[in-house]
Amino acid sequence: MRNLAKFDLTLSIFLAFFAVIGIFASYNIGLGNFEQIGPGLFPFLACITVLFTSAGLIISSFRSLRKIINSESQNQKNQPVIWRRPIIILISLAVWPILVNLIGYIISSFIVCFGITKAIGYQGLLKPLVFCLFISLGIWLIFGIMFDVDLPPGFSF
Amino acid sequence: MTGFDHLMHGFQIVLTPTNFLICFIGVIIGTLVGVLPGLGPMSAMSIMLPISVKYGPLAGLILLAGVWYGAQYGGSTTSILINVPGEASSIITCIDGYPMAKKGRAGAALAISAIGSFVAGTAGIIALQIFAPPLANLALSFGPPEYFAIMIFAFIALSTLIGDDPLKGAMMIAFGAFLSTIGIDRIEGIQRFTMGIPTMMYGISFIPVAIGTFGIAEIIRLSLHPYTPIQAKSVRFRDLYLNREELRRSILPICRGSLIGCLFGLLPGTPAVLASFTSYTIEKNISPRKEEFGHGAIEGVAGPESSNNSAVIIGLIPLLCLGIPFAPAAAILLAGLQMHDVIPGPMLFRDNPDIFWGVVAALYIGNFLLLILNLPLVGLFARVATLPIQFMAPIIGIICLIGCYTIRMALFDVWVMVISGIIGYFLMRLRFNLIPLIIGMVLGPILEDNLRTTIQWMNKDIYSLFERHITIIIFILIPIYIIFIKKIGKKIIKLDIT
Amino acid sequence: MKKLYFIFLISVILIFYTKEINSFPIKPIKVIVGYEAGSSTDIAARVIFPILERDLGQPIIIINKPGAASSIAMREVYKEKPDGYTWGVSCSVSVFKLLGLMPLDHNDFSILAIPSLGVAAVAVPAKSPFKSIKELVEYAKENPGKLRCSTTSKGAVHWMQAKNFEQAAGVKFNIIPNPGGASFIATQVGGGHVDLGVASMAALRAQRDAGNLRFLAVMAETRVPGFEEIPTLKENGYNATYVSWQCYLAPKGLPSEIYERLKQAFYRTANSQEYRQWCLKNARIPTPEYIGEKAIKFLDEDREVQKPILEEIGAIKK
Repeated sequence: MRNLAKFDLTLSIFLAFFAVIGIFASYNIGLGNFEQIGPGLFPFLACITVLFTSAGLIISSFRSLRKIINSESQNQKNQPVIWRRPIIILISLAVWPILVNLIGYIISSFIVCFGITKAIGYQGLLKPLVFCLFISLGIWLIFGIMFDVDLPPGFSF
Repeated sequence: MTGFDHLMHGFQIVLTPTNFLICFIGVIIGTLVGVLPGLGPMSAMSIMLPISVKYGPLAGLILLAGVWYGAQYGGSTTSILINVPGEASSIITCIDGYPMAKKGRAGAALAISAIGSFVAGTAGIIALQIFAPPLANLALSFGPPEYFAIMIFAFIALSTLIGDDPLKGAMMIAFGAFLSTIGIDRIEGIQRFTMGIPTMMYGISFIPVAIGTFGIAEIIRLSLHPYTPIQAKSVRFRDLYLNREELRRSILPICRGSLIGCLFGLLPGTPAVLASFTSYTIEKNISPRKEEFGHGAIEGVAGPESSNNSAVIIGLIPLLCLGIPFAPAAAILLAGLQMHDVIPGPMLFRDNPDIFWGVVAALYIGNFLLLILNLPLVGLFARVATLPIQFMAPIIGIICLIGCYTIRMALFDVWVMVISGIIGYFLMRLRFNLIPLIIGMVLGPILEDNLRTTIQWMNKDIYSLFERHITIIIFILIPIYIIFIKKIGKKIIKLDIT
Repeated sequence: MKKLYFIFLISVILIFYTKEINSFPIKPIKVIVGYEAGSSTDIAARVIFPILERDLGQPIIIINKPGAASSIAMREVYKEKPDGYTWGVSCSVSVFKLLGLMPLDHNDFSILAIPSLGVAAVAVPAKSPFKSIKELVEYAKENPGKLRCSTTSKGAVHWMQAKNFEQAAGVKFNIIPNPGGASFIATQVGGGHVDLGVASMAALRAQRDAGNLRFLAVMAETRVPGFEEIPTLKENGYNATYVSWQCYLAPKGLPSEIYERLKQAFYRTANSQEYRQWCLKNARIPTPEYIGEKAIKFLDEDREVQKPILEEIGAIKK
């Protein structure tokens, strides 16, 4: 008897629905025939595979061929979840693609670095700023000078 | 002149100051490029292409090849230290390499990665030297039906990679294959599933997804630890290196990995990625220590890291002997040669034997250089693993962002990475592994291209497929493999009980 | 007095402006190639740029942005400043609008030049029973859709060439498209997996020298120098001469002095001994006269040739 986590079951149901939508969408794109294969054929087959495998998982769980277990580990639940931090990190990360074409990769990287450093919990203002300054300098040296990759300079260069 | 004489002659050519220096520079740049996530050997090679042209065809080939296989060495560094894959072929190394680092065995993981890469690289070079022409002809006899059969085999075999349930694995791989079709169809040129958004034309690439689910998710996870002030941990130097048991456990995986890499090197596409995934699956399936995989089993690092090196070396065979680049990186090597009017191909042996043997000699030298470069660095890098998260998390974040952007100079990839990071974190909490999804995204394009080509080729006549002996052999091997794995699994369980 | 100052100011600005134009280029030039590094277009660019660099006196930097038959890259070039420091390279710019990839085509760019044309060959595996192109066509006429022909993705050059051959000879092949490019076609024909293939001669040469395949004909107006023993399709009665081209372009609105300077630079480069040598070795025809207006005319004609073929496969977006 195999183990199936509760989450996996939910995912299988979700993917089964998704596969059905995908089958129709692929059909719309065009399956073609034996002479001229359409671009929808492969997504169609992929979705059918997803449908069959997810159906297999769902049905076998109902037939108690698979034991449903709870998947979140215990000690993860006991830790206090400070949601503020991941949100700051994600906002900092999102800042980079939004601003990089405007203000350049070095300044954007500086902002991201600062955001993440504070989100990790680094106290104070001066030390993080200095740290991020060094990091930005390093980024410029590695990517701008050594590798000479074509990163958006914004108005800084 | 026997093969050995040829090789000695090759060494003579390569051991000139210029060529040696170029070999050295090539492997160093390759390692650096491999270490940095996102920035792959392709970008470095295209930047180096104009430089390589200046020094002649042999030097150019040595430089570019050095970058390519050097990157396979370096790719594992960030995978092990910060859970961010430096190279597509090092994605799988994150699974067992990073837990090893967390247990304080980063040095061991890095060391075995370097040693395995060296052994596999050498095995690959020997195979190249002795078997190049027959292997090339073998590669030529494989057509789309054969490649399709191999990919189906890989699909079924890799479904067991994560190990808990082949049905779940197959489902995720198939879903990944579907995701790989989003964007522009490579054959027809029309848009698929882009929902009217122009940037979706780029398609969801697997490298940003990998960087996101490993690196970004890890940063988020690190941030949720309550803040602890910086503690300098003093680590004993001896503890940083391999101990005897780890080395003993790694010998067979390295041998198997080298062999797997040699097989995959002859396939078109990205041989190193598929080789590393397959090696991991095989190591996991036949190991008596299955439960350790995912939590720091050294076999899970030794096997894949060896296979990606031998795959790249063998990947040179179709290029040198047929003049056909099977991997995108090989196409750049071809460009370098063509710009010198050297046409690689079956005539390379006859018209330019110096180049062939020079390259072989340079491969030996470069491989050895990489080993003596990387081993001392292991100690240095392992100390990086002991740095507190306050320093590491922001650096990881920026490297992920910039590295991801440099893949295709597309901001879309960066967004894919961030979103994958969010999803990846939640899945991490639920102990759900996204690797099969990534495998699906890698296999998808290869499966699709070969499927469509094969069906078109069949010309409405399905019996023509049965004329292809190799395809039939591969399709028969699939059920044999399944039975074989099940039997081995049962045997191991019996062994553990007794 | 105020008027005098004003005139002085204007003249100073004008002097600086013309100085920048006259001393063009003063900084490196960025070129966005719409294809992967190592692809045939990329190689062609890397061969011509060192010669151009010497002529213009500034380095030329290549950036590869593959995807969607170079339309993604050309979209970016279109948005750049028309100062002469950003160029693009594309092989499909004449048909972007037709294919619905982009609402732009070559008239929305400043076309610099098309320095050479690539010739394709029809090749068969070594053990093929066909000894001449006429035999192949005769067999194909009696057995429509039976002969397997390997080409690249739909709309790409070699696919166009295969279709051109089909139409000119009045036959139908089983066309097998694959995104692998000319090297893939070489493996398919060399390995004997298909009955024929149409690809650039440069890509097929290695396999031919190895004896794995044979050239039956070339698709050109006259026999190709360096490969004189291979007949053209035209002399056998099949008027298929579709050639491959790479177009070097810049955003629309280039100042006329800079435009002229660049056109002349391309002319001199395509006419140079070095470039002609390379063309000879790679079965290409140098066309230094295709700059500016003449290149635009070529692209217009090319679009008209491609249109019926694209219409046939339903690729035209209305």
